[in-house]
Amino acid sequence: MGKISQAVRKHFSLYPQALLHGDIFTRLAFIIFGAGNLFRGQIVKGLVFLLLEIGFIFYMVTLGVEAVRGFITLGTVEQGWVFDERKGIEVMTAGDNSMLLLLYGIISLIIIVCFVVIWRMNIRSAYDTQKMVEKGQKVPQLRDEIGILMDKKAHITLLLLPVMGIFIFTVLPLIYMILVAFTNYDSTHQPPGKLFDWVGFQNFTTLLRSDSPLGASFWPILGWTLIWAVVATVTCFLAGIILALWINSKIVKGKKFWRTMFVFSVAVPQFVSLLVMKTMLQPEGALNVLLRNTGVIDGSLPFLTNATWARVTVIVINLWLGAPYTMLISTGILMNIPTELYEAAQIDGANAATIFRKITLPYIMFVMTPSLITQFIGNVNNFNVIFLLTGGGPSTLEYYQAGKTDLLVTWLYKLTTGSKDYSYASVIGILVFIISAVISLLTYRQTPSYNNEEGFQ
Amino acid sequence: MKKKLISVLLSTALVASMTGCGQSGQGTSTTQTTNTEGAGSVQTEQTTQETEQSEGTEDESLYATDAVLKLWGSQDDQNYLQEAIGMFKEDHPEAAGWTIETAVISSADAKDEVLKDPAAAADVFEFASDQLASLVDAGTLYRITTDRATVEADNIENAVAAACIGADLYGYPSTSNSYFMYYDKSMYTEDEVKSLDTMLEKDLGNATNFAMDLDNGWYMASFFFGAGCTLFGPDGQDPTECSFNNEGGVLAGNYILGLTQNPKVGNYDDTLLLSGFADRTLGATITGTWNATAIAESLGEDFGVTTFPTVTYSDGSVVQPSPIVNFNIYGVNAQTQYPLEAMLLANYLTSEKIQELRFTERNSTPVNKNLVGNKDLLAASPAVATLAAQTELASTVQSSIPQIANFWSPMEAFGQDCIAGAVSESNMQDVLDVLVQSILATIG
Amino acid sequence: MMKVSGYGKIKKKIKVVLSYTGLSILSIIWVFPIFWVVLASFREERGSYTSYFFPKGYTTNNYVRLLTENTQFYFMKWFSNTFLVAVCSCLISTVFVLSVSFVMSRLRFKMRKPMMNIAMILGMFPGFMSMIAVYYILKGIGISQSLLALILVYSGGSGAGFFVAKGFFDTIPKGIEEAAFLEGATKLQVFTKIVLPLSKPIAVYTVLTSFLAPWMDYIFSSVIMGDNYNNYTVALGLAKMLEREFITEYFTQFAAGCVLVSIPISILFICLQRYYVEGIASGASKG
Repeated sequence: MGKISQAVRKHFSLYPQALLHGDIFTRLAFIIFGAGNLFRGQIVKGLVFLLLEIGFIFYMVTLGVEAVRGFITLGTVEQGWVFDERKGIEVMTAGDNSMLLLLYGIISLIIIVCFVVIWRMNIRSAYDTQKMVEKGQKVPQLRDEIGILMDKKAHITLLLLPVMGIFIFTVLPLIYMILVAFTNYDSTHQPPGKLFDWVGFQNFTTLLRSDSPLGASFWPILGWTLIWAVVATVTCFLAGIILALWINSKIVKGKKFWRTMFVFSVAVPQFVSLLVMKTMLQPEGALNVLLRNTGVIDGSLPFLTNATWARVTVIVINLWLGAPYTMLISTGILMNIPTELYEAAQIDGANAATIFRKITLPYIMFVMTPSLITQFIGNVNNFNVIFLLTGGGPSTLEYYQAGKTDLLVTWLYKLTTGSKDYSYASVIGILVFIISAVISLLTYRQTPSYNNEEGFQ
Repeated sequence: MKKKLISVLLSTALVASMTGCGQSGQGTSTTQTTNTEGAGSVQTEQTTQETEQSEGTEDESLYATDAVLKLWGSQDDQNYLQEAIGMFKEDHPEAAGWTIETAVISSADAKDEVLKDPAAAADVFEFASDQLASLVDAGTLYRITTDRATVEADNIENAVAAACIGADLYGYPSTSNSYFMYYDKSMYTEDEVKSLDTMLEKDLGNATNFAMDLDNGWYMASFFFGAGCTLFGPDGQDPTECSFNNEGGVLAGNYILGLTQNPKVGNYDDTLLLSGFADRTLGATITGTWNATAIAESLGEDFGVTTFPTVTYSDGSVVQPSPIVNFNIYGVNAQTQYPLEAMLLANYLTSEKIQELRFTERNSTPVNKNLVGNKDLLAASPAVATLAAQTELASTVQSSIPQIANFWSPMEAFGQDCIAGAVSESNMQDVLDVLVQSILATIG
Repeated sequence: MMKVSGYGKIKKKIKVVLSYTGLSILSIIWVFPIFWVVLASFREERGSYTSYFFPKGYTTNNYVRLLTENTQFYFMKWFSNTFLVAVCSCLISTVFVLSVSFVMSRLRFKMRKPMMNIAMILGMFPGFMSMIAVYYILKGIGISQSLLALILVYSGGSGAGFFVAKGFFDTIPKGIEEAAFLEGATKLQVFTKIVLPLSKPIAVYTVLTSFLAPWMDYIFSSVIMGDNYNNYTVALGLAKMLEREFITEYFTQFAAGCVLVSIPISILFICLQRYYVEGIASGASKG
């Protein structure tokens, strides 16, 4: 906390300093962007600041103020119908669209935040230039600034576009999704016909109260989601390593061929391979028919129709999909294990099992913990396998609109597509996020790669 | 302004006085026409007063000359739609200058696409009737007032009812969709297929006597409706009402349980029943017109199709199950710039002429009274004829209120629990109570 | 110990035999569904399911019809759409990911750690929840329903997924660049001239993973494309073939389509396997 308050104090100390010690141009820069640069010979930089200010004021006057107001009210005018005498029918008069107001409001708020940042940059720049002039230094021109961006501040150049992309396509939609959780944007409040409004934490209490139908389903589904994520991650991990070791062992020839056999499953689109699996595992599917015809079983096995069977089946199928990835990674890692370690162990008379337990596994674990965490998070959000294989089924009367293999994320999808209950789905999304974030941050901080970034070079 | 207010009041009064949907609209049709004429004369008065209105000075040109309309249909309907648009322009000279584009969105996806972005959605789009309430709730559909009399007079009552919410009509019904029985004539005689119980008594050797999608609520609800149960009230509009757990419901539930436990009955989805017929290891099944071609190809001479057979419940009553029927409806987007033009097109696309075209080209089941009654015409497609007969014999219009989204998952769970043996006759009442509770559950 | 006795020889032989049979069985399990799809793509009888494994008749008609018939499914068009989107988005993604991971690995600045933490958290939100917002943003820019929109959707936020690549950069010794700095190279030059040429494995890894996404995803593309049938991607089009009205007629063509989609991806994977393994292995170690 001390760090943060220090940073905040440092941040705000700029303004009184610039106001107190700044000359007329620096002070002017508080109101007119770029003034501090324009009058000291940094024409281009000053003009850019000035244009940004003009653009912002223009935006606020034309759209921004309305957008911020819309963000607060989420619309006041409902869509209506007025009789049109000429046409002889009632025609629609457009009302406010809460969903768009929310989105545009967020965009405006982000633009305002950017404006404040630019305002600060402009003051800092004005103040710095003033100080340079006072000290008799040469004021950097455009060419010098570009040079700085190529070298000392290369991170700004390199990050500009990627960060903009992340902002537009990830952060902004994310803020939208989070805010929807605090509205009543559900099946009975669908824009453009109806308005929705802010409701605070009401959706959260509804979902977490275990006596509501939603709450009664949430906790068991969360439990299965966590079990699934742990088991799916561990099984894929172990199977992948065993496969890699097996193929890498000295007695196996044609290593590349064997590896390729397993990699095929990665190259086929998942919705194809999962569909095939789904068909084969039906009560009348190929596998059951085969087993029945060979006399192994009498009746069909309920691979996807019995809750317990289905849960085991999805884990096994996920193994089929995921193990080749781990195999590829651990093949690479196995190649990197220093051979001296093995030689030393052999001299000590260790057998294969001991070598694996004492050397190979710890080494792989050491290297792969971060990617294991990523896989765990991936499995919490593993939409494809569950949705395409079982669709969440077998259904149960115990849950609200969910089946026994539904993960939180597939349940959320059903709520958004089926009944358009976006607000509740957002709450689930936020809760999924909190769970993933807590688990991964806690584990990630324990790993050597986080604590000792420079250690490997 | 005053005039406007009066006409608004007038039209509301008219709407209020209208008879309910699905009833014979003779009285309505007369009031409706006067309404249109009245509005037309008001319009001429007004245009003479307002000089700035350059267009629409001529009395009859209610329609723009250069309207641009977008029309949605499924990709296999595109050819038929092009043909229909051509006929539309021939029959309606006023539409000669219109631009009518088509784009591919099937009736099943219409709701999702329209709700995603109503402004970008088509002006005229086809949707399945179970999406109606959601679409209306979101304010995306025009109310149909001027063409209402024609729609009610031309089409079967069920179809019009499916396009109505309360007293208001929201679309133009075009086709119907439901399910009925296909059977292998080499395994059953025409007498035997009248009763499911007779069929199940027969020994067909290795073949499965009967199969249907036992864990799909769309099919299984027919047993409950047959027993007189209702979903969301008698008119399907009350989200707090479902009587699947009454006495009739228990009988239906027990019958379904019996089916699931019967080794001669298979739980087949589309893929399985098609391959069952292809291998000739299946006696009969319940499915819809979309499988007709494939089954006819497999069975050849032995292709049989008939209405849903009767079933005998444990109290000895013989019941005719009542399948859920959906309708495809053409709606007019509330955001369209050309509502009148869009209505003209939608009305034309559901006229007798185009419904017949759609039947011949696409094997779609018409809802036009004349076509449904035209046995000679329908004989060209036994499946469609059977569907039409089934709709007349016994059928239940699928409710379209948003709560219907809650129906499928509990029904699937019920079917699966029956198959898994988690349900018995002794706890049937309790299970059905839970089923109803789940169907009626609301968030919060 | 080293002398191989007769008993040991047999033991070793058994081990070899067991090894190979085990691997063969596993390979069969892994390849089986793919084999089934290939068989289905050559199946003469239509329908999505047959109760027997090997088709009764074989034909190449499914491929011919898929590629030549343009009445309902524009496979060729969709294939080239997807190819274009995949190439463009994987180029953009690769540039983004490599830039960000170089910055995060090599440069030190104030916001570095907070940015890394934020990036990690961003990946944990279920993406499809926000699709509708993305759609309206694209519509606001004026490019909804276009291939450009799809390219941006797949590549725009890719910069956040830099962890594996950063791990790779972390393993490149710093001494190499220090020499360059002494000769007066700028940081940008060090990135383009020195670090990039060394990062072939991780570049290949990034290219491969981002090339795959457009072929696999159909949820995002269906939201973005809406009714613009011409701009569908292959996955979306193939998913359409599985709808109730089409599945019986088109399933074998669907299988043919899947095979055609899988071929380029498989070839890429097999050829670039080595780099992929190298890249991800060293990246994961520090990721």
